[in-house]
Amino acid sequence: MNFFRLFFLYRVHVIYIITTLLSLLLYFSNDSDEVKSVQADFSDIISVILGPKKWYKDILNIKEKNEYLMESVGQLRLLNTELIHLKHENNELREMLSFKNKTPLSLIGGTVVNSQLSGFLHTLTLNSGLNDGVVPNLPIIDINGLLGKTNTVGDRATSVQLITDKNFRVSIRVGEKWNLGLFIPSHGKFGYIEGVPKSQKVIPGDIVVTSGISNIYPGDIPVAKVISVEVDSERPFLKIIVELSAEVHNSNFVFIVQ
Amino acid sequence: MSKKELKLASLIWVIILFIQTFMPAFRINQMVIQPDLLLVLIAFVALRFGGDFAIIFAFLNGLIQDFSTQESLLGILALSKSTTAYAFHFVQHYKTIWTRKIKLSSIFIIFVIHNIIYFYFYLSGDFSLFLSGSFVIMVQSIISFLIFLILERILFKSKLI
Repeated sequence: MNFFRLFFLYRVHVIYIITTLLSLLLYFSNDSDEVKSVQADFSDIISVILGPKKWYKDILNIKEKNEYLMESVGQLRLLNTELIHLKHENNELREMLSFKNKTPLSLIGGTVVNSQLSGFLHTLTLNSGLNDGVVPNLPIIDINGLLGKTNTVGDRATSVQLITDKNFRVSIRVGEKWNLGLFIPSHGKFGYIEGVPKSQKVIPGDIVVTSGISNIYPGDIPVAKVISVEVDSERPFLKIIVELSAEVHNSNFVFIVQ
Repeated sequence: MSKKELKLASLIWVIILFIQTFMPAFRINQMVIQPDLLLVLIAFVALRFGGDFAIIFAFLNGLIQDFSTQESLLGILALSKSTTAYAFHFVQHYKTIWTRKIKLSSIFIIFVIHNIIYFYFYLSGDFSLFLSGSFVIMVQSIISFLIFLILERILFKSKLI
């Protein structure tokens, strides 16, 4: 059925609609107060008719806004976490800066980019290398104490042998008379001291520091803290268990001692 | 419709237009009443010639009446008259089904509707004013209906509807 046939069938209704629209157009094209009053009435009626549509639209808008807010909340949470991390990092760097200003040692800052703390070899990788003046066998410390020493050095990165590595040894002093000894790592953040005679007075809480007689490590760098001392009658030396001072498992920034 | 009938119909239309324009209004208890002869003419045209022609005819007559009576509210008589013609289309459509009483009642209701539309817009949509003017609406509708009845009896011998 084409358009003209449809028009012919419903011509009365179509003509009426056209004449009504024309009449209303003529009426509302007037600017008089009477017409404005009727326009206001029409607006009221239209607003009542379109009320449910507006309500539905509002609901959809609220749903969209809700989804947007949910996304925003997620993003803000992430940002908040990032800010907390940055605050923590900032505090850490402030402490390190303060430490660097106080210490008489010549230090180079380095950022830990990788760490290998499981297995036989315990190593860290730093983002500083030969270009920054780093060479092999330099001590690595954090603000709490000795962390290890540089092992292999590239132009831009350095591999560090950690103090917890099974092959790591360092000459230390401990006790009332600063007796010499040797620090040997055992497991985790613990180790033991060998070579301190039974006659020497060492108590839990004593600080273990580097002896200074090594070519690598300068003296008086904190290494560990004594947590137990045992006297074995069958051995000539004390059995001293120590806990490492440095934050071996949680290091982000370290110092290289030149 | 022959040429002679067309000429006669045109002459009647012009005469009614002239009378409607210059016919004086009369007052009943401070209410201005003016019989709407054009409305009666539209009723006859719609019942005699059908809806489509009647709607256009009513619209044009309403427009002429708008221009000749109140230019500030153009369109309200065109709207009310074309609505009237559209309603008469249904009376004509059910001519053979409805009884004369139903058809006469419908015609009276259509006259009332015409006046309601006109007065609603004329009184600026003020509903309280519109309610107080409902008596005028009824008087106007009754006068138009009586004129329609008389003319239908004289001209068509009560056989148009």
